[in-house]
Amino acid sequence: MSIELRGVTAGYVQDVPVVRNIDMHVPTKAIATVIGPNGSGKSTLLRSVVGQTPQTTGSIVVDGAEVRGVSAHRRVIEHRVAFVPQVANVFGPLTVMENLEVGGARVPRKQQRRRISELLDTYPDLAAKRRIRAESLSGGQRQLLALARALMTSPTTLLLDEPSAGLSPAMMDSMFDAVRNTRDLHDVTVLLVEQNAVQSLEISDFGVVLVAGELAMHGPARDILSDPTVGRLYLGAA
Amino acid sequence: MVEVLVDTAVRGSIIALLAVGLTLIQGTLRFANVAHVEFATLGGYSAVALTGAGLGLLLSSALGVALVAVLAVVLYRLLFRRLLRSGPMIALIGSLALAIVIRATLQLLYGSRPRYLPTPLERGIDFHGALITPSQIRLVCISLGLLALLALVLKFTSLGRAVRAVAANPELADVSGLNRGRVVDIVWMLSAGLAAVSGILLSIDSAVGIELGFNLLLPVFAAAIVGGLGSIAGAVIAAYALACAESLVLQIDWGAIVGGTHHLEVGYRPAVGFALLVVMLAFRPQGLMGRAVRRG
Ligand SMILES: Nc1ncnc2c1ncn2[C@@H]1O[C@H](COP(=O)(O)OP(=O)(O)OP(=O)(O)O)[C@@H](O)[C@H]1O
Ligand SMILES: [Mg+2]
Repeated sequence: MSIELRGVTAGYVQDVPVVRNIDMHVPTKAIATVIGPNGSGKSTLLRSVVGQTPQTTGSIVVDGAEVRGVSAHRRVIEHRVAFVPQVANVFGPLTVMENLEVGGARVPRKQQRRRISELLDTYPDLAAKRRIRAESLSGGQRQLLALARALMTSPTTLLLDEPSAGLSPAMMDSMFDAVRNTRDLHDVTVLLVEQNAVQSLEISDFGVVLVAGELAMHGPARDILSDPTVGRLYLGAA
Repeated sequence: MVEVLVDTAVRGSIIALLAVGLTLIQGTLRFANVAHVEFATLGGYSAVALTGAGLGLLLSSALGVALVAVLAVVLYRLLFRRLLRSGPMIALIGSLALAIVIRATLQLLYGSRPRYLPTPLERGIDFHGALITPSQIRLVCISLGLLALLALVLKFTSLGRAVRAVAANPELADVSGLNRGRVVDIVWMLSAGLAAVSGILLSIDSAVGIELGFNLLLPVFAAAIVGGLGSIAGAVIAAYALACAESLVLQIDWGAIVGGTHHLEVGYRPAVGFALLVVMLAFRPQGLMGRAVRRG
């Protein structure tokens, strides 16, 4: 129920590591936020945990199991990792309902039905749009659908890449509420990347600062929030 | 004009069965498989070989379709999956090479003389002035039935949803826990199977020759592209529209324009598909049912 990275180096092309030598630990049922400048490798870090970016060295342990060399779809099914990518995070031409069904394609039919009705109860906005194609949803509904789709497998580890991107301030609040409620209700460990660092750190237990592919800082969210250098560089403080 | 209708139904069905497969492969793997039409030729020759070995026509056809479907998966695993790692252009060129190899091999095995399937001699039926054979009626019915079945499978089954999900967003499909490799295998089997059916139906209606598939390459690509690559409904509509246009162009007496009576020779038929393709690419490059942006 925890995420543990030891000496993780990962990249897209051989001998060009994008994230280097990352050590971090997110305990069970904690929320951790990764912040950092554009292109610092935040998405790459998340993708290497789900197995979409080739990992060259190090070890990734999810819920006590080493997942190195395990394919992405097996990490999702067998190690109960769920991932919401930064872009293209829904199946556009599929309806809301179909997106959820695909999210739960590998869970037993009865459980799938139950899960869909639970999630539609939790997100009434989506329930009203269940026959609508995902590509015609509003930005906020789309992000909610992306989250709901990821929750179909009842994950224990949830990876979210900028879930509040492109949302209005009101929708942003409800997105962060949704993330926190998900942790509280579904017992998941959450690792998220966010540009809206302050809000995200406020709902988080831990914070991670990634600069140029390396871990610049790692600690309780409170400490990151109050760190003067981080504040000046990434939190928009004066 | 009834002749145009019969012509459209028969040729449109053959093109449609091939175009949907091409568009499915393109949709899920983002590459145009030039060798796709060779699956039709292979279907025809499999049926020839199996009937030659003494099996009945129906059994031979079914086995032939299954053989081609399995061969397609093997080719994907051994050849195309590797080529695709180097990009869609390499895979396309590889498929061109494969098509040539398939034709050369068949030529070696069967020579260039056309082969006929042992079909019972049936009397043509007079349909409002046009002659239509029972095998043509069967061809159209089987094709429409299979196309409808494919549409239902894609729309309403979990396999169909998985195929559409992989086509819409392959990476997201992976992290949704779908086994993309298996979905793609099934897409190859379905596509090649439908192509083989088309080749066998065409062989029953006329004959099978080395060029059976190759002669369909242009209209099939035209239908898939005009329909909007990745769109099944688009490919089917475009296939029948193209067949209709071809038939009309050949039937029309151009004498009204050039004087006397003047019909185009059948050799001009492929030009119709080409013209349609050019017009479409110029004015609506995403095709009839295509989306300007497919991913998301
Ligand atoms: N698919 C890819 N192939 C090759 N290089 C990539 C790929 N994706 C990202 N990169 C490179 O890796 C580096 C880190 O990218 P990444 O997307 O992880 O950064 P990020 O911190 O998430 O940025 P952003 O804040 O813009 O989302 C960048 O230099 C980028 O160009
Ligand atoms: Mg990113």
